[in-house]
Amino acid sequence: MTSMTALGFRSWRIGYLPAIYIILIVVIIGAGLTSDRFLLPSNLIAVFQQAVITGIVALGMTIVLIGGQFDLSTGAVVMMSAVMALLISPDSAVAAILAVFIPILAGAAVGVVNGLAVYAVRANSIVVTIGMQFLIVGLVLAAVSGQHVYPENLAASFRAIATTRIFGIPMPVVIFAALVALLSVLMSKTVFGRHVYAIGGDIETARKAGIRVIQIGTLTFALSGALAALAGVIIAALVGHVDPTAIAKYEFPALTAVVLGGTSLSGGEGRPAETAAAILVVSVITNLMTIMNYQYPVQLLVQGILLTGAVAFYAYRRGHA
Amino acid sequence: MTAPIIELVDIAKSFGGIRALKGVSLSIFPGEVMALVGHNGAGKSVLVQIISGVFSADKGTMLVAGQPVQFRNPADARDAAIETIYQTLALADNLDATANFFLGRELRKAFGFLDTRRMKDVAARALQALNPEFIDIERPVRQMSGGQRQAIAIARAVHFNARCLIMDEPTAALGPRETAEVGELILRLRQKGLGILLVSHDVRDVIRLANRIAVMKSGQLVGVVDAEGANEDSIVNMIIRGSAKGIRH
Amino acid sequence: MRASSLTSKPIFIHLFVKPPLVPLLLAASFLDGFWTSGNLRTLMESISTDGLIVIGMTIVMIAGGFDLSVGAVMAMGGVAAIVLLPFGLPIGLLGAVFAGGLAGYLNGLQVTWLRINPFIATLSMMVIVRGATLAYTDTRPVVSLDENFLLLNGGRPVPLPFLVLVIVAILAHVALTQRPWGRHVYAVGAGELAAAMSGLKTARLKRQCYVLSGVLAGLAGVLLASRLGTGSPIIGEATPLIAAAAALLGGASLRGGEGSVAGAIAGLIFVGCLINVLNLLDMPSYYQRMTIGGLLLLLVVTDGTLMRLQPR
Repeated sequence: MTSMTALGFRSWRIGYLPAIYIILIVVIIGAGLTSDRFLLPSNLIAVFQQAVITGIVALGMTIVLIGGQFDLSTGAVVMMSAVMALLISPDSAVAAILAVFIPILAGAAVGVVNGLAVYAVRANSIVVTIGMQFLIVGLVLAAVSGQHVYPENLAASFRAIATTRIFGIPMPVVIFAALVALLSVLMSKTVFGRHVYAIGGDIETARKAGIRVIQIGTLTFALSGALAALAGVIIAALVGHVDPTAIAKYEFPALTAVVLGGTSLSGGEGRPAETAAAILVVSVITNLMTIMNYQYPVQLLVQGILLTGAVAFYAYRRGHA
Repeated sequence: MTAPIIELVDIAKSFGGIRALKGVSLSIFPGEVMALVGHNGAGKSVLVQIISGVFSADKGTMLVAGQPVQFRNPADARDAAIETIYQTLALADNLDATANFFLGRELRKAFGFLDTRRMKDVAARALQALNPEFIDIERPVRQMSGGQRQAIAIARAVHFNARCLIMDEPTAALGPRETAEVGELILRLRQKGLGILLVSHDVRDVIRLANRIAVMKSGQLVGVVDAEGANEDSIVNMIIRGSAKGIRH
Repeated sequence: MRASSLTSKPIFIHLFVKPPLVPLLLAASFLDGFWTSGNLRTLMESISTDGLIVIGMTIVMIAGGFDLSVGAVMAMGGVAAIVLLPFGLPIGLLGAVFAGGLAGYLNGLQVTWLRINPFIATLSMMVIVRGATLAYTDTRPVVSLDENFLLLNGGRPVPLPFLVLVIVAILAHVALTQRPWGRHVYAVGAGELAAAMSGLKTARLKRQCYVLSGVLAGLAGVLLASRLGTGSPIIGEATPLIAAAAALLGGASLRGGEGSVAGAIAGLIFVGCLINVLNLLDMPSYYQRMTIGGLLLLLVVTDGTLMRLQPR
């Protein structure tokens, strides 16, 4: 409990529990009441599967945002990583290992470039990462000449990333849960995490306190890139092929969840665990809309309204955005 | 004669085309309070920031305890036992008192983990030694009063064994009682043998608290006078006119 | 005239340095088919619609903000115009422009009243508008066969949209340079607090800029729809980037308080020609994406570096 208050801010709580968890329970109950298809085990598993990819992206975005910056290039990194993993054609266990680590390294490298542009050059993080997104998508498309990537003979060990079940829970969900735990510890109990909060709170103060702002800031972006790449690898293992022209925009639902989970848009506040809860909220809502036959456009609309609402609400509560 | 804690020799600094400091030489001795006064834009802040490591001088040398030093960043200055209390206090609003106390030099356990319990103990003791009424150590700094925030900044500087303490307008945002408390603190620190550089607008305060007063104008040192026997008008005259005519050095 | 005073004149910089317009045109001359009347007409048409948006973007940037929603608003404008055509051409036009202005006003409210960061505010608006447009059209483009509407794109030798751009550019230039309003906008961008303390109604000024951006985006959407013959809900994904790149090239800055219509036009022509050249070279669309993305990245990084070296 000490570590929670050491951060000097308290999440919006109802009773002792952070509000987002209450919202999650409410939303789940609401969804269950609205549609009996929601509570079907197969559907619930689908909800979690959906949540995992966006969730991993959102975790990375949370860390970058705690440091006060935005990373909107993650969707492109997910795609890049999925394509890379499949191009490495993991038809053996050895290749499978490469297919996991090389994309992650590539994602981290992209993050480093982003981080340096933002922290060393002090360029605007939104514009930099959006530009980077375009650049990467273009590069990947050029690399595969716009063609569908459909490797044959995917090794079982590679597909196992997505298909194994531990105690009945799909591996991706286990990975996600492990990441939430790891990142929570990283942010609240290590010097690195403390420094990220400091940088996000007041970058000049952090600098004056001797914190290596450029190194730590760049590391947050590298982490975000690596996480996005991990998500891409999971997709590759899950689906087995990638259509590079179908670029799903993961950044937006991820950002919505990050804000909903209480991470401040001006930096210095936020917790990975609460982002995870918020991701589940967003996934449940999106899933409900799919069940009720509201297609993608309406889902997009609702997400946008959700984001604006969340930003406005927290801005009102905090007294600033 | 004891060696100065800090000695500046001919320090010059320019920003683009503006010459902020034009060859300033100054010495601060242990156990003395050296005041730095002057108009806005006289170069006080730049000088302070060079000593505290935020900037590096373009020309000239700085010696700490007789050894020449080159500070590349604020951490280097802290390593040389120079602590700075900025006018804005340089506290992170989103963190609590303990986190701010140890900002940048957190106590660690293995593998980069924070030793939160030890830090809380140390910070609590240091803060209470300074101000026994400081109880709520877990509140975010954002919610604290000016005096409490000031206490954190001072306690932090003192705790880390400064040899030299730079205080930039410490009483500017404080009421009379807290100003008096800061004054007493400065005297106590002086007795401990710290060298203190006190930057202030308030000439009367400065005459009361300091041993010597350095006056700056337009990037240059106009003169250094003994506080004892100095009068307000002559100091103000030096600040405005930039001349030391008729002043005893 | 001394050489140094020539190279520092804005007109020189806008043509030769940033953006390097004349060098690009010279290089493009080596391409077969660049200087043909057909290609020039295509160029003029595409510049016309993007140009309106670049002018809007520049105005918002001068005021210290940013508008990511322009692409989505443009798509919405095209769809709205066609949907309202049965009520008459003027209604169609007004409807699109009004819808754009409304979106802009909502952006302005988010930024001034809710105090949301302009990037996030316009990002949400972009998603909302895009979602609404896609939902309304069921993700399919709406077609128009109305002759009068399609004629909007016509005109010899110069297409009507181009004339519209010229008029808008002149009006914007006059407003920014000759009118107090323009000076106030620059002041707000340069330092909002100082401007407010000088008595300027900063919130209202900012909202006005966002409304202008929305109106121009809506108008651009109408003209584009007339050129394509359909109102497509999916166009304009890259538009905010292209507009931002053009605006930055033209001297606007993310800091605010800088930029000009002349620069915006120069930047616009540069980016337009660049894309045109890539098309002539038969480069697939992903190379275009890369180029725009890379260009923007480069621009923002240099903008940031300059910010560091020349604190205001």
